[in-house]
Amino acid sequence: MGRIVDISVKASRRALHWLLAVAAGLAAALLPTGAAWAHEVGGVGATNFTTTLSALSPAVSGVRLAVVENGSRLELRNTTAREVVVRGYSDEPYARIGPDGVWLNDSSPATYLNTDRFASTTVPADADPTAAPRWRKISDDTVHRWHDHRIHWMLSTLPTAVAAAPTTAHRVSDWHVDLDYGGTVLSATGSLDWAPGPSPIPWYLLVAVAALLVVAAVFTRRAHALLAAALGALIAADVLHAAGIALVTAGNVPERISAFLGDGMTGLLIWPFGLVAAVLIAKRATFFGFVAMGVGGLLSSMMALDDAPVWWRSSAPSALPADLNRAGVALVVGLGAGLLLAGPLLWRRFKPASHRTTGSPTSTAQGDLADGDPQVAEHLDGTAPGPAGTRVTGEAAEGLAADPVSAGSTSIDSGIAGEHESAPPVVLGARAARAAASPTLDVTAEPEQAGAATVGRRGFAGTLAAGGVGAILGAAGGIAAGTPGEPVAPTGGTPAEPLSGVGATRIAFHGERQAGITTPARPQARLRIVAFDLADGVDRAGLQGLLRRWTQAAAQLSQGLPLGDTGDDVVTGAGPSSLTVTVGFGPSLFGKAGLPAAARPAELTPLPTFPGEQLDPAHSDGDLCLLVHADDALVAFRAARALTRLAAPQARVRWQLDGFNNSPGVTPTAATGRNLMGQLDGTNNPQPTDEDFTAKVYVTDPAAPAWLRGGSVLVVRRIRMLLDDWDTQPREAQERVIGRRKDTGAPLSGGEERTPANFGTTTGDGALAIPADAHIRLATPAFNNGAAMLRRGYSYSEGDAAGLIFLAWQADPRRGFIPVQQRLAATDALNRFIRHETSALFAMPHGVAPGDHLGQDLFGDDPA
Amino acid sequence: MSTRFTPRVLVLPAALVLTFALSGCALWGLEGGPDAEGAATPPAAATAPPAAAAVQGPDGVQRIEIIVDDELRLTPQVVTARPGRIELTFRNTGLTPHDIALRIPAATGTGNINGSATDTVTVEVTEPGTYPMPCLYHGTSGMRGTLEIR
Repeated sequence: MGRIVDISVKASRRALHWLLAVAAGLAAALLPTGAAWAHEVGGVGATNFTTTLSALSPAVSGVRLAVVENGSRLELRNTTAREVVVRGYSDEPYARIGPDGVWLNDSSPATYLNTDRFASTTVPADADPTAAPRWRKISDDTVHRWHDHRIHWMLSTLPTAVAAAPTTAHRVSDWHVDLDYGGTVLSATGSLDWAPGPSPIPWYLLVAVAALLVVAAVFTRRAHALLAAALGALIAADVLHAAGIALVTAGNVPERISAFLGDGMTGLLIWPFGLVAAVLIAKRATFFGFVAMGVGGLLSSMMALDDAPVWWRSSAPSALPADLNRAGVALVVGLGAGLLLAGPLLWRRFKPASHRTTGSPTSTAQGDLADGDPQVAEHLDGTAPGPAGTRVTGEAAEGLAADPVSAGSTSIDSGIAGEHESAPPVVLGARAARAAASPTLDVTAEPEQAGAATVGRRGFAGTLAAGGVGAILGAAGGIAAGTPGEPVAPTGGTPAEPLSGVGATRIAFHGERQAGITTPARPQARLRIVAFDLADGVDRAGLQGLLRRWTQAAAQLSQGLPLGDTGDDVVTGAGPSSLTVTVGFGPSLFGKAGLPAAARPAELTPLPTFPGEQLDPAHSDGDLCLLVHADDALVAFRAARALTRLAAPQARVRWQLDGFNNSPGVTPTAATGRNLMGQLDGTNNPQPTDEDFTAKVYVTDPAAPAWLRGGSVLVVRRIRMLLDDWDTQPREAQERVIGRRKDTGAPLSGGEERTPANFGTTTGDGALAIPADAHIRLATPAFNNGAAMLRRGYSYSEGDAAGLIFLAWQADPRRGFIPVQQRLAATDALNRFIRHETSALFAMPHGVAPGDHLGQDLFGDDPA
Repeated sequence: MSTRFTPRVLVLPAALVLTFALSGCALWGLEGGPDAEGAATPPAAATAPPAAAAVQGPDGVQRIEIIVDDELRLTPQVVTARPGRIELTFRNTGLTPHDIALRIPAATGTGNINGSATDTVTVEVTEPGTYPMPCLYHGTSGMRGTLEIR
């Protein structure tokens, strides 16, 4: 007996080795490509890097940009009648997408670099971005996808900050890509982030549970059915996974079907193979446990090798929800690993008797093969197996020790023939044999053993097969039909009823001078100032790109046009509400971004220190300034916020301030505004009707740099009012501090608001009507060598602090704010009630013509 | 009988599983395993960029060679020089092309430098300051050098 068992074991092992050799050969053939199989899209697998497109501004209906393939590529669709040109790395035209199809510029290095995810290529010597474009048509489509290296991580090591703390989120960088659309620059901005993934432990557990359940299923009474189900589920999960990948694969239908099936049509080979095996196992063909083992081992190991990272990374190239994708991978790995073990175990448990008791090693080995072949032939031929009751197998003779076939058999043919002669062709499992031997056994518990139940079994197998085929076809159809990464079209919010004058009013953006300085004549009700610092290392091109984006966006915003799919609906349905955006440069800008420090105009000389001021440096100064005015708080806030988002990555917010004035319609249009101390503020402003108004407010000095001529210099001071102290003063005392009546604004020397103050007027007791330390006396141009400025202040309140956001416009602070403030700081009676807390100085460049950008001539002719 | 059989049947599958499990560890790429275990981290040199001064030749021109490579580094990352004529030689020791922009007024960048190629640019800088030298292709991935004129 011992010897016989030994031989049998050897024979079984030989068969097993043969099968494993096949499986290993398959694995060897497939695994090298496996790493690139269906688990990467556009060269990207599961990753913690996330590329986000935050805005394409201004939006153009019909021009759609999207980040596809998990950040690997950008996709541009242009269905308009005009072409869009994508700019390359040196701002040169790289690609042209339009009604005429897609063209690439062979003179642009991007044409070569953008073909590879990691730009591992060689750029031909004649690809010179400054040369005239050499356009070459590559397709008739109106869509182009390219590896834009500005949007993803290019290095084979982690960013330093991420490597230091990989479990926390990081903003790796911000990016922007410019598109040209018939003279308009469409600016795409976005970010590259590191988003740490979840814990993989739950998925490890799911893998273990799935594998254990499959192994345990071998030892149940329904081992075959359960294993067939496991194999079917494995394939279903794998199909689902592949479909998820194919759905996010950009390309045409054949490309996506190919992504679905994998390199070399692996799926086409393995899935039907596995499904057939599942059907046969369901029909109790024990031998096919080895096929289940092979398919399970192959799919499981390939999936584990390529896709295990989806468990612990935050994003994966799949259309499926992240956790469903993770569960699918866990099921494939777990079920596959389980089948890898369960296949041999099934064989061990239900092995036909012929393999246990035969004599000659040769014949047994052949018997092993013969054991399987006829079944395959039968089933692939579609030949129905005989009724269960008539089946007799080797196992039917279990315990009888008689193998009708094998003795003396020396060839496969004869072995098969022998089987055919002596027994029905289908080798069934032990249970069927037992059923055949004693048909009444376990009838209630195992109905499939009844004759009628054969149909049930076959029905089950058929259902499984049909389900599998259906799943594959359905997924393929879905992939062919679906379009990945389609951004949702922004909804245009056209208000149904006409807006009132306040909302509908538009201030022209383009012109000789920037809006927001002297236009509109009546300052808008709301102000938001945002001061920015340039990011480290921003160069001329970066700054210029930022100004170009701001100019474009400000033009759109001020005309009430949408800013693209920014994802916010703050002003959906709202009108422009007299929105103005004014951009300025701080003294600290010069010396950065390739702008020589010497290029700072004299007008922008930093303010001196004034006595008594208590400035907060963190909320003072700045390289750049955005001044947003509107007659509506939401409109102003949203415009400032949208422009702030567009400032990335070149600039970040240093400080911001919100101010308010009376809303339109609340006071007469021409009325001077009041501040929080109750005074009319701005009475003695230069008036537009004054002969020298322009020279006072705007830079007209021919010696000033070209960008500043026609511009203006702004002093910003946040002046806190100590209102508790102020309010305890009687009205008369307050009026003497200022030198004007509070109610009418008339100077204390008499008259009305606009009556010129007479600083020599005395009261009955001989005292000056306007005291020597009164605010208006010290501030008046008459006592400051004519120094004048246009004040357009706003009130602010912040917690229990309140006061004035003092905004003064002038041609030159050295003949405006500085001398006046020096006098005021020394002796002004008002100083007891105020505190200068923040200070900033900005030069606003002249206005902009359509097609240009603000501050353009700051950059001269240097194309930087 | 069955107990003697089981181990042999399972040896190969177990070996396969083990092989895949072990070999898999190295295959999870630059981001590594859970919590970035085993991830490809930047070399220490990248975290502490060395500065090097351009050397003045007998003709008064300051010269320096800067290595650019597939690690997306410029070595030295910071070049210091005095105002005057500076000759920058960029030697690409890797395979990936680079294009180093010089954010210096009136200066042009290198243009494309293919793998194993070298490009020399001469600039005239009069103003002291810090002038960025980003790679136009790899700026987002942090490939930036600096020219410091003192």
